[in-house]
Amino acid sequence: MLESAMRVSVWRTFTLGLVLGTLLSTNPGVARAQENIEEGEVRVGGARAQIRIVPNTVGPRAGQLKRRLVDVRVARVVAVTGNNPTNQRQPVNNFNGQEFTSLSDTITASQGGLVAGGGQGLDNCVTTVSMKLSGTAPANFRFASFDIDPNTGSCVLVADGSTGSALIVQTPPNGANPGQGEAFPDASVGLFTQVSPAGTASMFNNTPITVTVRATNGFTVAITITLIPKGGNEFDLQVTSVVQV
Amino acid sequence: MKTRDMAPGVRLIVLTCVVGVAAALLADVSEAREMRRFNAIRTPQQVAQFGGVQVDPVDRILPVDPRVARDAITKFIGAWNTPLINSILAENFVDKSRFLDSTATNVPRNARLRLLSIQGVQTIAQGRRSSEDGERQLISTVVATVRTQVEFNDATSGFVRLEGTNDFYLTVTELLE
Repeated sequence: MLESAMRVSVWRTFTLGLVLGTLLSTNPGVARAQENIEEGEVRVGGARAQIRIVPNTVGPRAGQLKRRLVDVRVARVVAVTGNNPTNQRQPVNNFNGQEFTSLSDTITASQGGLVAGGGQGLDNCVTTVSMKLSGTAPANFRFASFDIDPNTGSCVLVADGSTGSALIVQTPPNGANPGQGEAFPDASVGLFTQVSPAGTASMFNNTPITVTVRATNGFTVAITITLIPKGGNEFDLQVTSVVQV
Repeated sequence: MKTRDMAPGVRLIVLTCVVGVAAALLADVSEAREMRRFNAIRTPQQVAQFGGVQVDPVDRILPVDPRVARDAITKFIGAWNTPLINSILAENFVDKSRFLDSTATNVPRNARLRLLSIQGVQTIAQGRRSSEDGERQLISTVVATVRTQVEFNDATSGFVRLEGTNDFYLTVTELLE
């Protein structure tokens, strides 16, 4: 009798354990990542948290079209630092955006030295110029203009408003725009467009502003400039940095 | 206290828990076996990113196999300063002809490009289009950060090496079958 009761007890224990185990293994609260999981979202612990499953990188997944490689081409190379072997004018004699005409200058630049003359890169425009009158604008207006070649990264700063494909700095600003000056790419050239700041890049005396412009080929440059008053209508434009971004 | 000293009810509960936990462990032995890579942060789709080819942007980017980018960059490195480079550069590569000319005239003949590292291969844009033959193509823009070194021997400067880091943008064309 006692033996029979014990058998029943053990059997009931085993059955209850099996049921409990099944419940634990199927409970979403203890879901585990499984192999071959499909792309999508998995809910863990009810609605409290979600795991986003990204698609597998290698090979097609179930139900996905097979991909066959046809062609790979280098479309663009953006220099980050050092030598750019795809520089269109000087594949060897360039370093950190500057181009050089001699190998010795290139080696000097690559070793951290300063090269007199500054090469032909964006750094050419890092200077201070006295803003000048334009032939067509009113007499109280002053200008300085940046011309940047988006193919080579060479920059020229001209102290008037005759050009300015990348950026024209003008004082006073147009119309009711705030500040003592403003900066904008030359819309008539159409080579560069302003990326930031959104809207008018207003300039205030002695306050640096960074204007980012992008060329039609994607070449993007951040130009940091400061308007320095000299009295009356006269201003200096200080260029702190011109860097590709 | 030993098991046999427990009250029958308590013993039943303990045994139930033990069997339950064992069954749970045995029932599901699958587990995460790999670290999945980060997916690219999507950027606004632009036609220009596909080299001017008109494509329909996809809703969800399917990353291109990084080995494709590595192979293409390795091929580019090997072809640099040789006429073969022409076939690796895209037709819309900015000032392609000028680059080929300056390579022929301004680069020492013994100059070679060495690959130092390839990092951060990411598919940043993707679109579909139909080719003239009616085949469905997947066009992807893949970017990789590449460290290279130009090496050559100069008569006056001796062995010259110029290291550089550049972002390579690749246009990858795949056929959907």
